[in-house]
Amino acid sequence: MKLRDYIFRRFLLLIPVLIGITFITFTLSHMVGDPAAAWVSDKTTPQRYAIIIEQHHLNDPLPIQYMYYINDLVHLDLGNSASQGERPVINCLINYFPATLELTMVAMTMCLFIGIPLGIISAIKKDKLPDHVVRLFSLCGVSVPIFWFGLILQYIFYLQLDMLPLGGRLPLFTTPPPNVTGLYLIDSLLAGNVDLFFESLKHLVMPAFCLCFTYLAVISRMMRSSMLETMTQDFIRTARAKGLSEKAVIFKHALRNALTPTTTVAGLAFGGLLSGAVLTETIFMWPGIGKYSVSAITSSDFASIMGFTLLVVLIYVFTNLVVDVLYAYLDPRVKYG
Amino acid sequence: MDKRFGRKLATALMIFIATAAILVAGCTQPETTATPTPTTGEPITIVSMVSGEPESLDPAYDYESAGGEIIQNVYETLIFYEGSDITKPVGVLAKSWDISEDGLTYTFHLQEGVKFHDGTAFNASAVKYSFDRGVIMNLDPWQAVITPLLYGGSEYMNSEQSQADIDAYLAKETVKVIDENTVQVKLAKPYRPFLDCLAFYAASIISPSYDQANGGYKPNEQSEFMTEHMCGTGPLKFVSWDHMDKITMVKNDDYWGTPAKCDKVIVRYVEDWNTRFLAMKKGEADIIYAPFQYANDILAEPDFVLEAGDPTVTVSYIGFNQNASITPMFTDKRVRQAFIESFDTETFVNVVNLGYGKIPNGPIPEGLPGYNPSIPKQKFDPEHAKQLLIDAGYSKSKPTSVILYYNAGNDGRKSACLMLKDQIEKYDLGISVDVQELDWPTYVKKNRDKELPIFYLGWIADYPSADSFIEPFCVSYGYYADKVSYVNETIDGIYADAKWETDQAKQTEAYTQIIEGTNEDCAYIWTAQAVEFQPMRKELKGYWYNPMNSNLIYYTLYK
Repeated sequence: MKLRDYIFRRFLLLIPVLIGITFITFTLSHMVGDPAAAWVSDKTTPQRYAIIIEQHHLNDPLPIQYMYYINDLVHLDLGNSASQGERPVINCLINYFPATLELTMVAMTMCLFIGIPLGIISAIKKDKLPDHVVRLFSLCGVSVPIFWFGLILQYIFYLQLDMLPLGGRLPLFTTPPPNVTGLYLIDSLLAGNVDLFFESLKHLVMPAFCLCFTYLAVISRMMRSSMLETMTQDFIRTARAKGLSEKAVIFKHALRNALTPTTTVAGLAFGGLLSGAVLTETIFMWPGIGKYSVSAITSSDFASIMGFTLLVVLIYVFTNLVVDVLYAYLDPRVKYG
Repeated sequence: MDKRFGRKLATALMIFIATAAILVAGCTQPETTATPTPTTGEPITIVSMVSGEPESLDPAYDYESAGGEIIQNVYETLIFYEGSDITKPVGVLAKSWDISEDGLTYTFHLQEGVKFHDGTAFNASAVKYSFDRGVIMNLDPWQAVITPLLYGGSEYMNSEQSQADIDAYLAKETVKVIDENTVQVKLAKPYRPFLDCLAFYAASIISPSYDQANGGYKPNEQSEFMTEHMCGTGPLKFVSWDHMDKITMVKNDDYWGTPAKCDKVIVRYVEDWNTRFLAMKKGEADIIYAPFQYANDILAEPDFVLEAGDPTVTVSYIGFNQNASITPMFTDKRVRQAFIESFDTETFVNVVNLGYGKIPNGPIPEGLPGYNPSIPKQKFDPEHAKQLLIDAGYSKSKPTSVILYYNAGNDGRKSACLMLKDQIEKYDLGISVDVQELDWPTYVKKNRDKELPIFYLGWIADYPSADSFIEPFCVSYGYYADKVSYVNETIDGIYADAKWETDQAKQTEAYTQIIEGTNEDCAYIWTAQAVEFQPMRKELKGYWYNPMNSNLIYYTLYK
């Protein structure tokens, strides 16, 4: 099967996945609490409550409500976000997603460019000091609570050293670049504003590092074990027997093979980073979908919760597709099918 | 293939190094757009960091304090209060007013030369437009203003106004334009706190031309445009709302009254307390929201000032559901009394709340007209409480349990619930109290369905009237009385007459009788009355507090 056909087939498979997800999220959302909760307060009058129920078809049986939902979805209407003053959910996602995407992409880049070399070093220097240091670093990554780590970063780099800003995407009095992609790093460069690019980058450093810290550990550990396993393979022995330098053995023969499992983990990590940016976004005042989803969940804003879930599912499916395609690039033995 | 891969890897590493270099260069660049340190003559920007973001900026729709905060800085009402006094309404957009002898007709003489932020003139038509808009949109906050207009009373929690009522309101010309600067409001029945209702930010006057040009209003629906845009007459003008980030306002240079003392206000929405604290410590925020649990952290900072102690118009309480099908134990007055006498309010206010609170003696908060300090406070008497429970037939051999609910995330309420649980279980009479949290929407839903056996909640006045407390708690159709199935026909009878009483002293006397009756019936534990708690940087000046302010007033602040 050709790559193109494979990608096409994967996109077709997306349809039943999405239908399944909408069904599950819809059912779950309507099983808990008050379906009108997002629109009412403890002071809402009974009369107003009845109007809300009617306006949102909440008196209809669940299958009918589901049909309303699917019908709207087909017309790209994800409903209105009650926790955001009834703004359309689609607008909220368009508004907040680029911020999270930018943060996640920078965090992912940090993860890969720090995690992979650390994993390699750890594998090459197995059971020596660098390995122990990297392992300790990894252990910290998976065990340190993200909110505490964020706070420590803020205390050191913002309060004490005055090197990095406390939070937000740009300084308070700075106008954002004209909106093209929603990613300030790119938009500022497109606008030719290098100062704005650096400002944006400065604001990304702490939250992105805070976000990547956990996955950094996962990636470096995976790279280490995968590298160690590869180094015991026959072809590595053959390469060494041929008299190749250790450097050539590692970088030309072992690395590429060891990268395959790391790619899987990195793919999953990317999805995880996107949907798990909640705490980081809260601490660093980052106006992304993580913060949005929390406010939606705490106010039982079902339309937003379902919209957010759909988006995350799409990202996961898309990331998995990219990972599968990358597999074949890294390992020609992999066939599409 | 391998060589190509190696080259790609090398390129990738070079990009990484270059990015790192840029990053470092970026980090070490001098701050180009740092927060300015204003000195005399320079523009003054006030940066506030608060917790929750508004739901809406439309006074006819928003019913929470974050939105109310912005609304009261950009819009104006006909009247408000001066300083921290909530007993005497003073004119804002209304220069003066006359009340007819029968108490039914209010004639407002409006300020002249006032302009909305879109440049159009404020006049009597704008007042009529804003009022009609609120009534026709018929959303939550306006219930507090509609009810006096439609019925003359305060029964807004249980009012059932229909389209016919609204049509009748319009047909009767309840709000009538007399001339350019005079507007008349006719009530169905005289209602003394009506002026207070008009001080509520829901009754703000909006620009008719601005609203009309942007879609206008529809019955029972909010305006999508006005939820995100504002056009009032206030000393600050709305500039932008960057969702989940900040709202920016600037000084209104054409303001008709005393101009704002600051040039720009930025309200940032920062959930995390530590982030807000660090920002103010560094001087990046001038004023922040803080729960009183952090009082010691704030007091330890030499650059901070803590304004605290003035009473708010809120009361917190624990309600017992007297519906036999939910909790048979609370149908017995002795049990309710035992629970009341088992709650150490003094310790709760002074230790858990670090002294930032007042001990209530009933639903009416201290400072509100109608508050009577001579009503005795509920006493903590564990020995008597234990005896009451024994008398009610509780013993170790007949174990029973009850669930005490509070809303998740409210640590103060959790502590109160645990204190009560601890005390009841200490008696060793087989009564176990399970303390459980519920997320807010579920909590509200269960309360609405009257399913909570015993629960912790709070109540904030929409307008400073004792009615706003007596009616929900003490009268059988009242919002909370209904939720806990509390009925006392004598009290209902007293209230039915007293609510129309125009003499404040006579009304206070009747309300005192009602509160004493409710306390005698052991319907609620009055746990605490919150007080003002506002940290800010010491260079910030112009702060003032009024319990009816919805959070902060920014236009008087400067540094």
